[in-house]
Amino acid sequence: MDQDEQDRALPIANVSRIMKQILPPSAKISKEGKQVMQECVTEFISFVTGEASDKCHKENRKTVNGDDICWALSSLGFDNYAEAIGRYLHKYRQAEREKINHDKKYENPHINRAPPPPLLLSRVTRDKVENPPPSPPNQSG
Amino acid sequence: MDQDVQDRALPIANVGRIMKQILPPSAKISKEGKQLMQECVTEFISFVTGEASDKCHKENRKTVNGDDICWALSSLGFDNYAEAIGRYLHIYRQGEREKINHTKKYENPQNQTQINRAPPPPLLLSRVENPPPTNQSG
Repeated sequence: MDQDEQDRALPIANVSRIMKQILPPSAKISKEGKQVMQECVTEFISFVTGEASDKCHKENRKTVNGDDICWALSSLGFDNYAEAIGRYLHKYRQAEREKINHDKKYENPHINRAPPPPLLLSRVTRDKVENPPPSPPNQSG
Repeated sequence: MDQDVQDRALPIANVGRIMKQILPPSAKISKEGKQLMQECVTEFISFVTGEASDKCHKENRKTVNGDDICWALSSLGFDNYAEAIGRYLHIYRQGEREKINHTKKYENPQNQTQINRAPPPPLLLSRVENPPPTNQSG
């Protein structure tokens, strides 16, 4: 993968590994299946980030933060994602506060924050057949 | 990032880089913004792949391919993504066929090792999704 291509995509090995996590053990993924997902997920990041950026611009802020991402997901119709990510953000901030408190208490620079647990949204959401995330909405003229 | 976290996520540097591509030059991204997107996009892959896997299972197939991903996107309501990815897949397959033809034509081992398929152009779906309002039909 040349530098230009690398700059605009996620590593296909990582994409593939994540796909494998939800597949049955005997399943395989074709090369084109991985590439199609790689392209799709790169686009998803751009789509959500673009929406968040518009909000920041309107509010004269320069830094896109977690709340902006949550808002963008909801704005684009990804309500289930916005809810789950909101819970993740809450846990993330709790962990950050605990880290600060712990550092203050012991002043030990070697402490590492434990990562929040994975969302497992895909299992929760897929059980609710009636609530699939909608496609990005078309703007009306 | 420990191995367990790495196994279940995409590299945050790459996620950040892709986010930057669509932001104005002066914009910044907070660490939590990147981490949220990292988590969200990992979940998206699992969600779509799970749907594709169900289809393969029903059809007694073991290999998830590009068409299955396209179908899953449409099945889950991501119709715009499915359309754009379908176009990408078409271009991808054309590229693969041209590569095969070129290899057959010259049958030169040295040439073979040097042939690189040009990557399909990026989808730019995110920009297409947000054209000027006057271009939109109701």
